[in-house]
Amino acid sequence: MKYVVLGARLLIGALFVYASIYKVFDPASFAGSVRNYLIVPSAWSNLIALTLPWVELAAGIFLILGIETRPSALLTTGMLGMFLGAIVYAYSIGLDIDCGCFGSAAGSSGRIGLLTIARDSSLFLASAFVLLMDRGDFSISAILGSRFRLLNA
Amino acid sequence: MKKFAGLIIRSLAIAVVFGAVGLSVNMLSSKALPLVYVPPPEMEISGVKVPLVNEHTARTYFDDGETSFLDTRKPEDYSESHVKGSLSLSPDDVTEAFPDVQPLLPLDNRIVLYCYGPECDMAERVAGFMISMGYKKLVIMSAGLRPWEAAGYPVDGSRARERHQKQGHGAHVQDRKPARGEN
Repeated sequence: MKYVVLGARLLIGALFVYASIYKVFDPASFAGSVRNYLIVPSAWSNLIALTLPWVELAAGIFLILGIETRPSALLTTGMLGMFLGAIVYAYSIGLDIDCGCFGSAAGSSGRIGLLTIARDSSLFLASAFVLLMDRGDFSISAILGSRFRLLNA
Repeated sequence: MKKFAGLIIRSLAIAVVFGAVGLSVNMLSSKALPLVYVPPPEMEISGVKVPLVNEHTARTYFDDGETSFLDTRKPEDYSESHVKGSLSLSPDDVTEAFPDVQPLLPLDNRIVLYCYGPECDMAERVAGFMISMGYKKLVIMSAGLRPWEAAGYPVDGSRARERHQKQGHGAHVQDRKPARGEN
């Protein structure tokens, strides 16, 4: 089981790092994607675009390295739940927009649709699985701890 | 319970610290974004200044008899719902479709263009084409059709008619004074 948790942890971590990179480097485009969803007032879009990608990046790196794994998994699960809700809402009201998940609004990261809903649902479940099942295996502290124990033996 | 509260506090701490990192990086950036987004009042397309207006301002033009609305979304979305009396002209086949709508769009009419949302560039692309055809009085309703519908302003199309039939009266489907050139 711990290998399945490790696989899910690395998958979610890598996807969050990958998805956050363009947003970190191009917050203006990401702010455009946020505005396209018509969920939050457009005045807030810059603030969200300037902060959220850094939280995504940190949570992704922490998951990969196994630092603060469960708090990071709580963040990724919360963010994926939020993204999923936004996509379902946008889809339900018939918005034909780019999801802004892995690229800019003007890019080609994929129009929202059943496929993006299915993908985000799967990722949400995988992230929740890490949150509930992670026992600290293969974390940096566990690896370093075992090294120190070997050295001290 | 205590463990769960600890988990939430540690999550929030990560979010706050790295959110602050993002804001600090923005402050140091040469292309810093303002924290509060203010939509630009206009944009320049092919040397012509095109005002960007919200749905409420667009509504004030709706029945002045001198304004035509141009829906630049995909034709299938236009069929489903559109600003009542608007014409369909999507950027993908604008050259082929323009002769069909040209007789209904006098050159001196105000043309309000819209698409899906604030960052959708379809209205902008069609505006560029219209400018090349000699139109000068162009306005873009930047938030797109959705807020117009949400405000209860006049719409038409298969979805509006369905709703109309269900409710048994003319919800959101109101008459307007036709713009010059429209039948």
